Amino acid sequence: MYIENLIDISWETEQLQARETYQLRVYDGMSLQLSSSPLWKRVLAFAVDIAIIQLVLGVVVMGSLVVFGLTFGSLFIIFQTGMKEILASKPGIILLVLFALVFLLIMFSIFDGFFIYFEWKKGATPGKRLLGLKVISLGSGRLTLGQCALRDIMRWVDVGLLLPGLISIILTEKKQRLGDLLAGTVVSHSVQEEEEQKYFYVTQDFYQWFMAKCSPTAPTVTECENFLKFAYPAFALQTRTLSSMEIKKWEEYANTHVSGLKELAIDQDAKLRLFAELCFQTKNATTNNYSAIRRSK
Amino acid sequence: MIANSTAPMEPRPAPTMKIQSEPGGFLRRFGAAIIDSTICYVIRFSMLGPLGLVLGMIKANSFYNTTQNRAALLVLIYFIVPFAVCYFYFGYFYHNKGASPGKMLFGLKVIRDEDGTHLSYGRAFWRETVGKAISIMPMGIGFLWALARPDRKTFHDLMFKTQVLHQKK
Repeated sequence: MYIENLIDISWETEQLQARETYQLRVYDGMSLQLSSSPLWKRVLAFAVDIAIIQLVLGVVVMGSLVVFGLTFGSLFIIFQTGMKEILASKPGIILLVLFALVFLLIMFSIFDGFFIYFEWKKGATPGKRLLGLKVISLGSGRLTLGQCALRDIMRWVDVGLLLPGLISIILTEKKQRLGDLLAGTVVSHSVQEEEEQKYFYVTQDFYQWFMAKCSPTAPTVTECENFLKFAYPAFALQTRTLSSMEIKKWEEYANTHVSGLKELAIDQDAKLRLFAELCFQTKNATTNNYSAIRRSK
Repeated sequence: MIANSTAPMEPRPAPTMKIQSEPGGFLRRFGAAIIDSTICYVIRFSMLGPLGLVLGMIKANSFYNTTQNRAALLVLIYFIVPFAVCYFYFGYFYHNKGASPGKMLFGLKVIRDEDGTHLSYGRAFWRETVGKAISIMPMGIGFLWALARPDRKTFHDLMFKTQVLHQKK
């Protein structure tokens, strides 16, 4: 859904059942169902974040090696000395320590700044966002910078020592780690946000609007295959241009399966895309691809 | 637990309808592959601890002392575990979401050539192991092949009949 909008708009949390589900009101009359996040999703989200940070850190390490080499190389040339003499002199040692401190400062600020920035500004790091996870504050509306910083400092204890975070997630009823407990936050999981990735021809919002209006019956798998063989090259690859005959034929085909599609006030292309999305979703949900391959042989 | 706010609710924005697709470019896919391989590495690395515990238990039972069993354990750690991680990681994400996390970050999708639906576990696994190995063997020409084709297909795409699309939402 619209994560950016969702954070800017003030929202309220309600505890629906004892500990499982929260409801997040996003727009008027519209709400997101949230539940506490499974542990493996949090771990995988962390792995994704670490992967992204590692990419940046790799570049930084290479860059700082270049700067280090250039500085000391020019010192060797200017003063006609080697590393031994520099290590023996006081300004040389100060320079080395300064280098190390700046290097560590940059490394830590990238690692911590990544988490703080994304949780504060976007509500979720890229890894969390992919898996439909979101950090929400239990007390007030938006996450504050202090909460994010506290969460981030406690990450060194929770993840660095591994066990404290794991034990506290297992023991607490809202699945909070120590940082969550101290900052008063909870990591929630929204199926809707996670499944945004699955949509192929039209956006999730549009598809759900269509499903609510038309409530179509799911076509069979062979019908889906027939339609997708036409729809996939036409809409996704755009390697085929459609003749008006074809469009008419397939529109009738779609009309027989979805009652109320004719009355919708949208253009032809969008209608066919909606039906293609319906076929795409049903086929992905129902077919066992192993047996499909065997059948085609 | 319940937090009420008095700020007015904004009206719901009009949904953008269609998703635009184009064949996935080389640089995007390269970035996605780097992130995916790093994630796989992180997962494998984090499995070393539990594996070490198991190995310790086995050593206590003197199973570890024969050369044959040691070789079997090395095979387990260096061959079976990476392939199993690859199978479940790419299989789960390609089959259920249509893209691995690295690809999702760059807005890419991997789909079957026949009708544009998601890959099976098996096809995802063979594409990522055998397919990519064959692509990299002739000095990486299999990957660079994407630059020459308008549909941006590499050797492993051609072998296992898959297509990578970049989707703008």
